[in-house]
Amino acid sequence: MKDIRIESDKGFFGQFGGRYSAEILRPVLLELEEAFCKYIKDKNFLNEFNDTLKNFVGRPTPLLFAENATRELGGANIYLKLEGLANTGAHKINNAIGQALLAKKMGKTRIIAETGAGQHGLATACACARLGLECEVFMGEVDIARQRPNVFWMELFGAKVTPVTSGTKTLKDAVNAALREWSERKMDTHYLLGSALGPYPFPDMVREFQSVIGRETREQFNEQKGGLPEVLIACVGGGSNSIGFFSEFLNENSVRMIGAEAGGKGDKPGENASRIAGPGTLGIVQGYKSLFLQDDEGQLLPTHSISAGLDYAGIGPQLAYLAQIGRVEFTSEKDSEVIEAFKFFAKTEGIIAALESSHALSSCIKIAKKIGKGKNIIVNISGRGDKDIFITASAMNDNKWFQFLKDEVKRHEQKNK
Amino acid sequence: MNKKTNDKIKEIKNSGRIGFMGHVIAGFPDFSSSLQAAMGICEGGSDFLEIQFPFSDPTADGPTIEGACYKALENGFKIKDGFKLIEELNKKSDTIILIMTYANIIFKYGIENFVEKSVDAGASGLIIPDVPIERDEGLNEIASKNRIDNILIATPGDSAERIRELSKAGSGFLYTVARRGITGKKSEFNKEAKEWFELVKNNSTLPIAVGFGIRTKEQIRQLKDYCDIAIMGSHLVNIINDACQNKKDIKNELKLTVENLLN
Ligand SMILES: Cc1ncc(COP(=O)(O)O)c(C=O)c1O
Repeated sequence: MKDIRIESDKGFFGQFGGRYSAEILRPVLLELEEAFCKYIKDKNFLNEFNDTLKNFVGRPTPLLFAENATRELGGANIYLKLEGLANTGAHKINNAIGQALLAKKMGKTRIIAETGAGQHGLATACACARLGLECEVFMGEVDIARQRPNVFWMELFGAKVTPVTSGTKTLKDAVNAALREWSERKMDTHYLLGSALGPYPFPDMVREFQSVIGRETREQFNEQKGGLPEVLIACVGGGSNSIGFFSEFLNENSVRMIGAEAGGKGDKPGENASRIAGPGTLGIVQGYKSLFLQDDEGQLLPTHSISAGLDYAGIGPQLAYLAQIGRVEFTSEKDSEVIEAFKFFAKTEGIIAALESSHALSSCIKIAKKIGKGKNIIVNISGRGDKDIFITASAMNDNKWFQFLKDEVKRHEQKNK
Repeated sequence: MNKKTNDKIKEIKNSGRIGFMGHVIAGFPDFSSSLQAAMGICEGGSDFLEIQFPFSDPTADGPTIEGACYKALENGFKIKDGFKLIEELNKKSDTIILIMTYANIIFKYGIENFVEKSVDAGASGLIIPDVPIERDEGLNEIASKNRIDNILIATPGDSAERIRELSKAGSGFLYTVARRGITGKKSEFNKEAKEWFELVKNNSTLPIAVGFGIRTKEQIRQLKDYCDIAIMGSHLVNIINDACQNKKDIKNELKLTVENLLN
């Protein structure tokens, strides 16, 4: 088999990708492309990036052999890459640090970002606090309502969190808001996009900053077990943790790769966010060509997922390409299955996975037996699930938790009387 | 260049005035109101009318137009309604009609098909902000084959060379954005803006239209030194919205508004 190219070909992965931006964004995108191409090969820049990953983010994150889960499922050996143990609790910090450092090199003083689950916003706010950059995060009103803890932390880091009240009030509208703000500001602002999508050079840049996940995994697995794993599984929102996890292995033909999308509540339009495993079709939206959940007239459809981070109508162009050539397979995991997987790994391994990452765990549970004993599956736990406590407690109908919330409000009110 | 547009701009230049382009969102707030609004703008004396086909993710638009697009979509706007609107207008007015929309709308429809339908309906040009000339999906060639203008957009930050490039690749006129950012906020024609208009004027080989943030007669008068056509978008959308909310005669309101601006 011919080698798969890791970098885009002038912004394209096959027919996907590109830079379909309004004229107003062309100068900043060209400037960004030039800076990225220069610094990604610059020794000093890479040293600074790697130092920050080590001393501030806490890399390398562990690769854990999930012995108990392996035994209970009675199939392949299961390994977990624990990105949730990175500072701020998810893989998002790798990209945030990389782009924030790059922005500083470019002389930018201000960062804007979109966020869905709040994990990318949190990581960006954290990176900005550390690196002394001004930060504004756009977040859909619906997401603010379901991910309040992350809003609290972002504000603690000194970021301004701006609610987005238009459209579906979720991630895609936060991206629109950030693009609008970027076209309005002078050249002092960098838009720190959080997933491997958007106009070129973002898909290449985000993949490069996330590829540390795959490189570490390969080394750690080789050390612990020797050789290569048979299967890799990651959840897919826009695609940053998955492409960062996969890219190191793309040209290892023996390694099977699976992307888990949000199956939501059901198969009807608006009930899920499965683009590739579902009915995504080719479109040009938010600056890139890829597969989108849209109607016959090209209007994006609303999406649903129990996890805010996977609740998005498009998918990164490189993953769309890798699906098309059959290199990466896609599955769809239902909200209810995801909660079961979440509980299973908490009980067996003491791991609280993010609901996003629990999609990958759900897929792992389904195939572990089929893959079979003696084979190895590595799941990327892209983040930890502390942030989801309000959603999981509700999904698990934990009434004691909600009584606690009521009491807590009462205590607070009494204190302020 | 499309013949109607060409003749019109000649006439504007010869009479020493500045041309005017109004803007409506097809289907906002519903089909018949948008037709009434469009008729009013035409009867008020608008030379051109930009009809925006709503898209779910209009990233170049501010809250006014974005909100209007969502409203139109909520009320069931379909692309065929946009074409029907143009047909109806063409029966009653000779204002030149241009379609503005986003890449995904024409891409999903099929660019060739969309262009043909636009021509059949009687549109003279297309304005698609997120189709770059470097990768235009065949739009320029298809448009030129069908004798409809592919109107390109120049924005602050573009170099002299880029302006020449855009005016060479595009046709009809060069849609020049008055300031950075998105539609909506009022533009001040300060020193920076005037330098930008000069740069466009000195480098564009096409006629020039200026838009974004234009709300007053005074602004239109000021623009006369720099361009051939003044474009008014969000301000008219606000007036349409207001007329609907207050149950006024939409057509008459818009007609009076445009008449006032032009006299
Ligand atoms: C923990 C976690 N995993 C996964 C995702 C999905 O994004 P991506 O597909 O870019 O990794 C998010 C997004 O917010 C997230 O917070």
